[in-house]
Amino acid sequence: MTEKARPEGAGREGVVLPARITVELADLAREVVAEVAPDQLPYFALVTAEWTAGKEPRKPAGAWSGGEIGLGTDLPLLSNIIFTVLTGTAGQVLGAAGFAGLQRRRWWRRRRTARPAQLVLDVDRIDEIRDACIVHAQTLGLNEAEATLLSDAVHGVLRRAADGGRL
Amino acid sequence: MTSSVLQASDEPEAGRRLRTVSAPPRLWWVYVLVTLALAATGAGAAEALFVTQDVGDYTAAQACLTSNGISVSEARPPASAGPIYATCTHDYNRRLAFTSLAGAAVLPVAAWLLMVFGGLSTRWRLRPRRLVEVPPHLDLLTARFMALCNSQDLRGRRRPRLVLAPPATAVTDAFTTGLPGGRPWVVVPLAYAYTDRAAFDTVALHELGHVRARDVLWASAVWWAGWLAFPALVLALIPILNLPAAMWDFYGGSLIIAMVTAVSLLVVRAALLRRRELAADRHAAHATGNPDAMAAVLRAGSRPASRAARVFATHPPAADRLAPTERDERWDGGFVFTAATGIVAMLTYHGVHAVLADLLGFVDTDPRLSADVALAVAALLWTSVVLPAWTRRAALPKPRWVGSRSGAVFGLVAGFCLQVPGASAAITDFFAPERPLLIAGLTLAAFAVSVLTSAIATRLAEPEDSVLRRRLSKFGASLTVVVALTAAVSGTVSSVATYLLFPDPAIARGHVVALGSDRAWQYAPVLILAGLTFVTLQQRWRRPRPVVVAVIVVTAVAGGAAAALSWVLRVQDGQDNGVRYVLVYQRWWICALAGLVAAVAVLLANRRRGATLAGAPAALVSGLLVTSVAGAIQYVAVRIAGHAKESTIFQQSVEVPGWLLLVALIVTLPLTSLLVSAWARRDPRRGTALWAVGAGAATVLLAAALIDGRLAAVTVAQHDYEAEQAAMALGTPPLAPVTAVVPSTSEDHGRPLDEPAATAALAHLSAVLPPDAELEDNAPSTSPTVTPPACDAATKKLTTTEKAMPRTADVERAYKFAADGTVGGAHVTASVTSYTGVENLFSEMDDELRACGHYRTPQEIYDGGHLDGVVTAGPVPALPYPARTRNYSLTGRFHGKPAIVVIRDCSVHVGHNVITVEVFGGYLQKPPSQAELELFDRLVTNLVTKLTGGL
Repeated sequence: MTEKARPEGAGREGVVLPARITVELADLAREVVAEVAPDQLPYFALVTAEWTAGKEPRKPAGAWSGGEIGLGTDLPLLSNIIFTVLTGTAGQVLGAAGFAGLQRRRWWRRRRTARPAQLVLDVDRIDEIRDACIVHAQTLGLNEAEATLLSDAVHGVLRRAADGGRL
Repeated sequence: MTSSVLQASDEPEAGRRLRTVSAPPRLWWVYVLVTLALAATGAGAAEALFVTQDVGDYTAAQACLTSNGISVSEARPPASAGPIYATCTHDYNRRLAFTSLAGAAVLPVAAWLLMVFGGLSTRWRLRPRRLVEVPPHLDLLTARFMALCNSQDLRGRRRPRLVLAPPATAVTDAFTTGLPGGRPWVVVPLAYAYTDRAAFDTVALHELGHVRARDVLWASAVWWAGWLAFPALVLALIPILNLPAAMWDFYGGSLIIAMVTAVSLLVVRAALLRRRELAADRHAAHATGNPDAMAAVLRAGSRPASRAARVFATHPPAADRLAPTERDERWDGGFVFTAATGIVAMLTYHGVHAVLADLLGFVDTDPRLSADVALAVAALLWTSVVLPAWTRRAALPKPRWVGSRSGAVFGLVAGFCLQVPGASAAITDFFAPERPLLIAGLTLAAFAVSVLTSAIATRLAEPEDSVLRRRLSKFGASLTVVVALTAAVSGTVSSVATYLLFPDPAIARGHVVALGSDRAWQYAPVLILAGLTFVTLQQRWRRPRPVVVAVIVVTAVAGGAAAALSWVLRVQDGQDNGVRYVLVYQRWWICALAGLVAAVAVLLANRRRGATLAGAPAALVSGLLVTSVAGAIQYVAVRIAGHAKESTIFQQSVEVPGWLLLVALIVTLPLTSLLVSAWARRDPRRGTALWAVGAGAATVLLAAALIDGRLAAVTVAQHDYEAEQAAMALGTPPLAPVTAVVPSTSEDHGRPLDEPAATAALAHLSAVLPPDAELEDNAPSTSPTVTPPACDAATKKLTTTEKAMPRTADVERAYKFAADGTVGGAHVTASVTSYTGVENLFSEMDDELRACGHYRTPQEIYDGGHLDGVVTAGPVPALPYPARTRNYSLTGRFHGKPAIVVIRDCSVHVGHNVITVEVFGGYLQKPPSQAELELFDRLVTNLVTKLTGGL
């Protein structure tokens, strides 16, 4: 869940708007999926469960036995790549400090009560997030139009959070 | 990624109907090759294990051989050692053969078990507990999958199971898996349930393509073959891992070959899989009727790979998959394909040859039997894999043969020159001194076979509706290639071996032509003629063109007449066998050259523009017919002239020229192929008379050149017969040159001697000793207690009897000299003992020999404090006195290293005197060579002869 925004500034109509927002990454991803590909939400729930458990959803299956003949290409479903896009984007925009909190849990940490991964972001950097998101989405195989669509969705969700909306 | 991925939909694909398409061709030959490669690797590793664990009791066989004067360090035993060698090594070889067979079975079974284990592990990863997250409403997807299976006629047990893998299984890529004998699984990530139907259909049909081609099992088999090749050998070498130097000396080459084999298998597997991915892509595109469907899936998820990674990549780059061309068909029967087949075929040859030689060595004394049978097996394997692939290749629009033929030559030659990792390198070591000659000969033979095979494949690729004719032509093609390959390689190898044994071109030349009368290869021309006739039946019978008939008739008559005249005009009464030998073989060579001219002329005259390859089988048939007819004509003429009355001459007159024609075709192929390819660029010319006259003239010119001796170097020459006879006389060489003993008549050599006379007899031994021999102190006589007790009793009885005999002189001299391989040099003791009476110690010696066939003697410095001995009777020197020779061989270990002591002992009774000579040396790690053993034998003989003559 998104934490309460701190009143550090004032917006239109006298509403005090936050200068910095804190967003749980899973909530941000779910909102993006709900906006762009709502049919994937059941599948996204399974992906989120694995991600929050510290597993890498895109880790390739082991083929040590030589008895598996694969297609040779992954399906870059939004639900599969959204966490990678968001963590990569956050790492680029926020740097090591911002990225540290988003690193994948390790298996030996699973038993700890992990703090939900959060994104702490100055509001004036939301546009930077959008631009970086386009780059990372394209790196993961989306074309420019798809990457733009996804980035606009991320941007929109973050902007709503900055405007005091709930995720 | 497409927008459809972002906008997930369960809508069914509209507007397209599924088509039933033919399954991608199955790579059944991969199973054959990988099974044989595993069997060969297993046999080699088992042989290494056999040696390192001494399963065959090597020391016993070695002791037996050494005591009989046969070295085990040689690649081949001496010709005279046959029966003794077979007796000594019978048990060892039999155990070795069965161990190799066990290894050949175990490794394929191990690979099969690992395939099962791998399949089970995949099923464990996808166990039901991990699949519970799959929403139940996705049954629609399962129903769709069944519809896809039905569309490709995959029903019942042939229908694979669909597994939808949720994120918890970490499956991100659709794949096919399976267990030997079980239903395959098609595993599709659950994510495909949230994309459009077209993507699911495409991916599922791609995987169904793999299922129908049964790609999973061969891919798994090759995978394990690659991973097992090296560890299997290393496991076998564990007992000598603590001796790295020895291990590297004996198995360094094997380890390198095993490593290269392993990597090659994995690289070839990856290359094959890349081709199979393209085939599965085509399967999906054809079945959906939507060539763009696969493009959408691939564009979405393609990942770039580095150039190095592409070598091991099991999938081609997306660009290749999106634009497949006919180039992807050209791997079938290409360089890598044919080279790999050739290497595996020849490794199979080595394995089968070794087992047969070990098992059948005592059944047939001719070592070529096992070699020829093994070659026939290898040729059958090569033919059954390569011929169908080359036939498919010949059906392509513009088939190219350079890579295919290069692969055939490389694979067959490299496979023959390689050793199976871990196995004895007896064959490769044997040919090492003449390896360039062997490679050149094998290259020529393999090139000829590859040209013949490509020609036959081109003929087979021509369309034919009649099933019977097609089957007959396939049978004939297989028969021809198998016989040609076996005969060509066997003839080349045995000819080089002959040259190695008797480095005289005359003898090697005689061997090549004599193969035409060999018990097996005399039938090769007939079999090839029959096979090629079947091949030419691929198409309906058409009357031969006049030019072909004319060329055949003219060359056959010209060849037969020239051959007959060459005999009738030169044969005279009283000519020696050498001259007759040349005349007979020149007759037969002329017939063969007539066939060669006919084959080339028919090929050129009968060709269609630029297409000579398809006409080669018919041209070869023409050549063989011409040679046979010419042989028959010359036989009749010679018979009318009053010669060749033996009943077998007619058969020889037809068979031997046929063999010589095959030899001529192989040897001249580089030249004739250049001539044909140059001539084929010209427009086909008519002119029956011109072709016939030209072919007849060429036949006569070649016959004249042969008779004139201009072709003697490559056919038959004066003195070939004498050289052959001389070689046959060398079949059983004397073991050691013996100086003739001419006892002096002036004195009685058996008279009793006093000490000065005995000392004088020993005074001139240095004349027959090695130049560096030095006198050394006499060693004190000892009499250790040996086992078994009967041996000990016999030994002590001999010693007691000998010591109890009254004597007038007893003088001994000991010498030491440097000898290769010995530890501290070799030693000689020579003694002359003169008794007052004329005693015979040989009855006690014979008793000792019988009781001490195998015995153990205490020797503190060796591991375990003993040495195991074998004593046998050896050949006695050619002396006019009673004599006994005993060969001792004592084996044991010294600080863990194998040690052997070799003793040659000879006693001669000359009246009152007994002359005893003993030569011995100790060897560590490496047993004595044949040359060293023969040096010992020669020394004993020469010393005894010298002493006997000096009394």
